[in-house]
Amino acid sequence: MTEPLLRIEDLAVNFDTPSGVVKAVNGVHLSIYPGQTLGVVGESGCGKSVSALSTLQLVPTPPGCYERGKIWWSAKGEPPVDLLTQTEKQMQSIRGNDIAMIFQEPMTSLNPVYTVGEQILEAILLHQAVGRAQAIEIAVTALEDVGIADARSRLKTYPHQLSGGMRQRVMIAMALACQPKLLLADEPTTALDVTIQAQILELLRELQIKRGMSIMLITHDLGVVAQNADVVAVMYAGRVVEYGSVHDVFDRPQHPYTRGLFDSMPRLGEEKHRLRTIEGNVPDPGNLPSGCPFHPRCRDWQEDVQCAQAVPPLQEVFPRHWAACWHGTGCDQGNASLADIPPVSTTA
Amino acid sequence: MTKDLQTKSDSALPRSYAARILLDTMGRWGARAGLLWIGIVAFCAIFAPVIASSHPILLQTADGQWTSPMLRHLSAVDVILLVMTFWTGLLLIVRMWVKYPWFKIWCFSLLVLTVLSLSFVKPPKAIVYSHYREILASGDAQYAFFAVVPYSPTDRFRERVEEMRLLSPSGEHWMGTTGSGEDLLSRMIHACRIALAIGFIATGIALVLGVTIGGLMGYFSGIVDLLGMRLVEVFSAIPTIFLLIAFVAFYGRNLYLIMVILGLTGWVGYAVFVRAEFLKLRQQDFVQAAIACGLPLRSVLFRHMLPNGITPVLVSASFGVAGAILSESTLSFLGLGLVEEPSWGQMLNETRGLGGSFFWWMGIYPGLAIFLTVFAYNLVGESLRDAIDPHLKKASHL
Amino acid sequence: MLTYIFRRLALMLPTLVGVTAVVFFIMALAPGGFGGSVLNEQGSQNEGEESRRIREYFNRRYGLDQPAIIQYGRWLNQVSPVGFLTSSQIQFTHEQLAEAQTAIDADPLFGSLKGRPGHMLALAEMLAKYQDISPLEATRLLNDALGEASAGENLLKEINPEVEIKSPLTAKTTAALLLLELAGRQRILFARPAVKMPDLGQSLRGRRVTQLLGEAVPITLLLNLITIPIIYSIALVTGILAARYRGRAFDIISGFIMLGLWCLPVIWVGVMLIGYFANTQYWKFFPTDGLHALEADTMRFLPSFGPEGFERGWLLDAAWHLALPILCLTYGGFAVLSKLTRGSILDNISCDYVRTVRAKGVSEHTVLFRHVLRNSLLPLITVSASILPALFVGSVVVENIFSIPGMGKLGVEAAFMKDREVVMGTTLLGGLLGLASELLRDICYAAADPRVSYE
Ligand SMILES: Nc1ncnc2c1ncn2[C@@H]1O[C@H](COP(=O)(O)OP(=O)(O)O)[C@@H](O)[C@H]1O
Ligand SMILES: [Mg+2]
Repeated sequence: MTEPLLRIEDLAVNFDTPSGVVKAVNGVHLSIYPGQTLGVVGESGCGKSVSALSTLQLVPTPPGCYERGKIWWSAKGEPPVDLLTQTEKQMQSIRGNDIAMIFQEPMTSLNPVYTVGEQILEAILLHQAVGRAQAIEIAVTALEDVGIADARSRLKTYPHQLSGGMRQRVMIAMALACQPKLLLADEPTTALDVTIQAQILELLRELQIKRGMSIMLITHDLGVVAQNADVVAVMYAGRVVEYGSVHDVFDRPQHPYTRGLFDSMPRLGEEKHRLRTIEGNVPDPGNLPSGCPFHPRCRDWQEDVQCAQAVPPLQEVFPRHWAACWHGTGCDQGNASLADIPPVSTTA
Repeated sequence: MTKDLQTKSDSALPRSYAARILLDTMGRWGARAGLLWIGIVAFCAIFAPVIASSHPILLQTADGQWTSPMLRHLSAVDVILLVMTFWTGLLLIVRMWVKYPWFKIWCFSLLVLTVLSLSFVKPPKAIVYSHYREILASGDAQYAFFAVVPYSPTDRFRERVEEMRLLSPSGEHWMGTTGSGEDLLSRMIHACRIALAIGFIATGIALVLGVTIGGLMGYFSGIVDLLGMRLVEVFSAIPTIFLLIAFVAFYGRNLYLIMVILGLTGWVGYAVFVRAEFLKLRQQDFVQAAIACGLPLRSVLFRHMLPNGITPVLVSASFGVAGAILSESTLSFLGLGLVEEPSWGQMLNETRGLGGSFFWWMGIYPGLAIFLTVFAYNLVGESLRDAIDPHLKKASHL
Repeated sequence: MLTYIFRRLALMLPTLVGVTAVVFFIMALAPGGFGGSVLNEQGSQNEGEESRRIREYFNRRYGLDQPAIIQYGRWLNQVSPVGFLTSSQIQFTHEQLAEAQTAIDADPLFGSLKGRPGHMLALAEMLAKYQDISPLEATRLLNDALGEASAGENLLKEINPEVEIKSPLTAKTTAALLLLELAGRQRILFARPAVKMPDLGQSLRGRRVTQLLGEAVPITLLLNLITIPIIYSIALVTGILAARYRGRAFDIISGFIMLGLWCLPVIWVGVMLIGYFANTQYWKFFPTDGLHALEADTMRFLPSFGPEGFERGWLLDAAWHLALPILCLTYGGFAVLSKLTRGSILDNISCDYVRTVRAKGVSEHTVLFRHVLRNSLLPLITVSASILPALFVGSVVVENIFSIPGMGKLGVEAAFMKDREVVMGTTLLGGLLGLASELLRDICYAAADPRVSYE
């Protein structure tokens, strides 16, 4: 089995806010293998973006603070390094070069006063030893790769002259211009129309196959995960509560929260029935309930189990399928220690 | 998460929006320091004739009779201010136990008092400040109890003018004396009135004008807006300081006139702000609903739109008060202020006309007073702004 | 863009008319009236013949005996580059005058009137201008009027319907009265539309307003042109540093200082600076007034070592005189702008696009100076238009404190004197400068922000 490209171990990030310390991320375990797409789902506010930003040390500090955890990054052949301990200088050479990121808001994520071309060139000139003329060629190719026609003249346009879908394509082109090994896509399609969404996801899939890069696809849309991801991590209140291949998780969801998510999703080809919602609200990350953070909303909560007392660890309930619940179905499948992060390898 | 926080703080503070803003503002040290100073100025303004006067508060004449020359020399304005202060305090204290329409009573009594004191309070026309000093010295009076600062602002010590001029601060004259021999501290205290009044009244006029014009422009848009904007443009293009100077030079020196002019020239900023706010509000559902319900215009404008658009205007209003005070002192400094009543700017101006010599006390104290007052209002304004909306910082003063 | 600029320039006209109208009517409707400070002293209760004449002269010169609206119309016509000629602007050629002179010389009636040579010609010229006829025609008219009492009375009535005729008119008295009535009187000749030099009129003391402004405006502009770069450079440096070290000592201390400076009244600072630094009682480091030393004209331009040791030269002398005024003018501006710069940078630094830039691996330095700063400058451009009027107010005060003969001093003194034409001239120019700076700001903004375009 190959080494994972990125391995997040027990990551915890706190925010110091005027209304108290917010535990935005509180013990996240993830790993991404080369060429794999990891889908991260969860309600908004559960810490998906913060996890991704931590990978690049982009969480604003203050108010943020990396409480604990390791983020191992192993570029080809080299021993893994902990990204959280890298200096700012070292991070700068990793950002945009080895790991690139695209964001949710294409409307505001580009600098309004510079042309698209200048912004793409900035990344290329920074990470690649090329001259300006050559960099322009690279930028044109990058724009063509993301399906922008007439790329050369588009370099001279300003962001406000482009539509939302076009801007997101520009963002992707900018991110991929330096051939990164890992792309962190933080809800890349949430702000877009449905048809544009499909195009962008299709584009990401194509580019991934062409370049063999890994993608961390953050979304709150299970449908997107089903179609695009190999492995899925379900997050709740700053933790990963279920983790496994898309197949396994979608077939036999183990965590009550995951099941709730599925129940609240309309499906084609099924008889009409009322969608079941998950009752209650997302807990306030500054004021989490004791024990399993999900237990106040849990349909299966039983008084006798430890739910309200202790946080359930992530356990391997089926082979290569982990869940964090005190009364999961296959509890006795062996107790994976926390350090032994679920090594789910590529499907197929 | 923000939503959660909101509801939490809502339940903790079951108060109106305005009350919450007020509470938040008061919690900031800047606002407290500012209000403290404004309070001191207000105290001096109200009690000026009691704190600083050449007339004894109590006087026992040779035949053993007690009189109060200070009270007898109070002007109608003095009486209104003093009585209303105590009356307001009383009304508010009683209100703690009994609920009653105190504001109506307050307005009514102000009206009655104004009429009464304007018709009955008649201080003597010819004031001889040295009178009491003389009768005390000659033994015609047995006992006199003077104010803390026993000098009136316009008391020039007729009896010994020459030796009283430009005395540096001493135990007798804490802030020294002016070029014409008046006590500086007394003048400083009495000048608080102009500073306070000009700030509030001028800004009040500007606010009413600005909110009305801006509101109409924002509500009706179209042709009203177009005409209004031309008016705004004209008024913002006039070099205000010239307008002020021309006004005062041509119409004479009159405190009320200065207030009105400052109001007439200061409304533009508020109008532009309220207009923008109303243009936004007009699109919103609750206003559309109010219009659709067929509510009269007055109701839509004043009950539904104004309360939602006014709070940020208050921030610029408190900066506006500071601006009005600065304008008044600048006018007085240029020699266009009142002659008979002391004002800080005018005292600063006097500093210049003393034949090239510089008497530090005449420069430092009035200037410091202007500075502190302006600073205080600006501190309050900043705190208010931060309390209302931390993001408002962008569209700040100027 | 060009069409936009032209449209804006066209829109400036009605605004300027509004501005001048407001100021004009405030003055025209004032109870004391215009020129009061000159006239009230002399034209008091028992007005002598002399002072009545002076008042009437001023009335004629500025048309004060007409309704305010007509006075304003006259003023507008006078300053407008396109308008009607006024009678005083008509110039006659030498031939025309010579023609009239020969006619006068040939006429026995004129010969019978004693007077300085050319006296009659001057009267004829005045009449010709006022009636917009040729001098030759004017001599004929004059001949009729002087020759016959009723014709003379008619002519006088035509010029001034309220003319007082106390004694029967002789040729001599008619000539004298005509001279009196015509002196300084002018009217708009609607038959003569023209493109002309704008004329700002004449001050009470007789100098042309254009000339007065021509001396004062460069000085005020010089003050402001020195002030603005200083304001912006100090504000940018301190604002950037404060934002960069947000929450640290520099930020907090500079925040306090800036808030304090912002509230410091210029009048106080000016008085204290003069009192302490330009006064022999304390430190006589700086001169108290003026822009140059008296002997500045004889100085060399640059500092040098001459036979009598060090000579400061014209430039250093000017800088020495300007130091305190410039200090007074700058501190308030950079205090405000510094706070604004800091706030604007902090607003931008938490924007989404900054995160994108960081995710590209750009260094913090580049993030701040290339991306954040560029965006943060936009609000600074926006406020620049309100900085200028503020500077203008500032210069009114500063020029008065430091006796600098600029526009502010001119305006204040004119207002004191109730000198209408000068106040109007200053207002017009002040308004024009304000509007022009607004236009300039909008053009700069369009250049700096690609999202804004005026098409
Ligand atoms: N800059 C910040 N300051 C304070 N709290 C933050 C900040 N960024 C994120 N958080 C908190 O972290 C939690 C997780 O945020 P995020 O990762 O953005 O959620 P999502 O899963 O929707 O991407 C949120 O509840 C939010 O309150
Ligand atoms: Mg997010």
